[in-house]
Amino acid sequence: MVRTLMAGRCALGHGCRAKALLTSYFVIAGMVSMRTHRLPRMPALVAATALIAIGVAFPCLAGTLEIKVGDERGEPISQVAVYATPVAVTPIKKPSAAKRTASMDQQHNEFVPHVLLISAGTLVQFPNSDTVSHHVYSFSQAKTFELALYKGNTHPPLAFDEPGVVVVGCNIHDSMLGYIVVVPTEHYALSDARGTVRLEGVPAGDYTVVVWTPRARPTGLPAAQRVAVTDGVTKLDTRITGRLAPEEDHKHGSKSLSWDRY
Amino acid sequence: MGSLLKPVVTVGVAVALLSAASHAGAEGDRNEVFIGVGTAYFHSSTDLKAWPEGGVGKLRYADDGVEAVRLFAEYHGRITPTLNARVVADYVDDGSSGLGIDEAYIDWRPIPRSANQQQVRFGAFYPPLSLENGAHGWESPFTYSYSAINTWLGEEIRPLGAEWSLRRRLASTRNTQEVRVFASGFYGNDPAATLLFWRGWSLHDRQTRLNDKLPIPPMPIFGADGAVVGTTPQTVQPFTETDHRPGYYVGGEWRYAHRALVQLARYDNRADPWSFAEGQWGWHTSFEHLAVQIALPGELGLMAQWMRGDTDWLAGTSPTGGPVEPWVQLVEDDFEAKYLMLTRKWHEAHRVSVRYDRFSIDRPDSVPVLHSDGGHAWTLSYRFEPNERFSGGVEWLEIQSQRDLWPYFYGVPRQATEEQLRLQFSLRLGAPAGR
Repeated sequence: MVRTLMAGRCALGHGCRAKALLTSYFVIAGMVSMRTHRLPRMPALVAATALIAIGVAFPCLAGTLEIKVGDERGEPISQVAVYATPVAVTPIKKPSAAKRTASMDQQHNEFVPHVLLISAGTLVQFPNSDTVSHHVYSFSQAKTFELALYKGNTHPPLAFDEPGVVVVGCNIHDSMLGYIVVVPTEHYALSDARGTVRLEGVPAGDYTVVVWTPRARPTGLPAAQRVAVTDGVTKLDTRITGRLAPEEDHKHGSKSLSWDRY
Repeated sequence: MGSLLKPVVTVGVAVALLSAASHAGAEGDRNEVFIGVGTAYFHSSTDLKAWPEGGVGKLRYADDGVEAVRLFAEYHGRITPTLNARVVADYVDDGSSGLGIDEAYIDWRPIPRSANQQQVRFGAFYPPLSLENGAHGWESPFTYSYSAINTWLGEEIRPLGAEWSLRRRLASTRNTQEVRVFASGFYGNDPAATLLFWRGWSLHDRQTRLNDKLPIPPMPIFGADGAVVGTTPQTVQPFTETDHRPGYYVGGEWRYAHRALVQLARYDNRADPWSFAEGQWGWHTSFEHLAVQIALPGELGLMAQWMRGDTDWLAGTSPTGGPVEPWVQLVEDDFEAKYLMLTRKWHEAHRVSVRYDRFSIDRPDSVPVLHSDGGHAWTLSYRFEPNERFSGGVEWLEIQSQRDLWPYFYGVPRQATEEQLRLQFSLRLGAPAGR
């Protein structure tokens, strides 16, 4: 019976747990009726009827959403934040008690990764792997914070509950710049070297797909696209228009010159 | 000078300071000490005596031999996370030799609450003009001898006051561009340009310490017939306050990532040109400054600075022993200097830089100036930095200049070519690189 329950569960939940329970209920009802050689009793009938209704209304299928991110000429763009928010379900604000954790390191006076993509509610550590101290801060609306001068991993992690883009800097090293993209969904990823994002196990349904990178002008980013995810692979092509800021422009660029002056 | 004793003593002192630095470094985040020591062998070709010895030459060392170029310690003390004290002290054995303080200031950087980042400095500091001197101790990672402009900034410009700056990353440019404005009000610096006027432009790496009394070429003594009958030695203390009138500098800067930088600034010490105090004359000196830095394709770095300014000095007398009465305007000079440098680094350890400097001092009305100066210089440098501790390098410096009244005053040729080959070894100790 337990096995039946497990098998009947949708891979990622999303209301499908109800169906799994009802399936179990139906199986139980069926078995009871078979054993008694009588017609199923009313509860079982109701359950079966409800199951059919739910099955028609919410076909619980998990699909894969494959998004390709390219520029105007179709050249792939990596490290682009892509996330899909279910249209019908209220976006999560504070997920389960078992918080996710992520880390934004500081190495050679750079934030690593440069773009950190997390779901709302994630706890983020800011270890400093450099031999010099850093003073990490953000004045972004989604999360205003300050981690006073430190080395190593002395500060406790911070919870990023509000969706939005958090620009992170260091008060000592002006050139340091990092982005934390907090999204209101569990379906997200950064594009790989081929400009591809593959979101697996996305329950079938309607989604809004959003694409963001600090390298693009806001006007060059594609508008949020609505896509219907079904069983199998749903593909989506997105294009970022306009000239992208070179990746190294947000990091240490030319080392031939000295950029620290005082 | 020229003996091996001083370099050995310098290195000895450096090693002693190292233990102190290591100890300070071990204390954690609050204190950091960085020590640098440089020793070099010089081979020069010049007929002129080096200026730190009271000569009229543009070189810092005119004799062949090994010299203890500089031993410096840079201290950073965190008073609070946003309040930092910085002191740079050094030891040199030429000019006004011994220990001295180059910079000492408090730096306050409040945590930004918007895209505007502010910074305030109080104390004695360099204005943020030099593109070259970005290393610890205000040294240059490019060439050993600084450009004419930055050599002069190191010699005679050291505001004692407050500086406010505001930096803003431009979100509309996807944070790739930023603008910065800065302004300072300061005291001191009233005799600025005295050394520049008497000796002319120079290219070296000696920074004037706050209490230094520098030799300048001697004052000619004129006989009844107008002929020079002799000279009398003189000195300058460039950071003296002679008139209690504050000076200022203001500037603006635009920066595109680590690709391009343009800066415009104006400095004016607002000195009363006939003020006299503590044995020092006020020289009213002001200049405009333009700096451009571009990362060219192929990891080639280009930097250029241009400066144009003027200085006025009025000699006066005090027949009654009371206030000094203006007597005659001796100096009303324009000065100008510029340089262009190309630099490249290979494999993080090898750097080659080549720089061309042009400079001049003359009067706006083209009348021959007492101390006119005009010329150019080539600097070619190779530096090897295998790690953060050791570095070595070789530099070729050639300065050609023309000074019209030099034969008349000092009996030296009107035109001079000064050449110098330098082999340097540097040691860096204490806290690691990075600020």
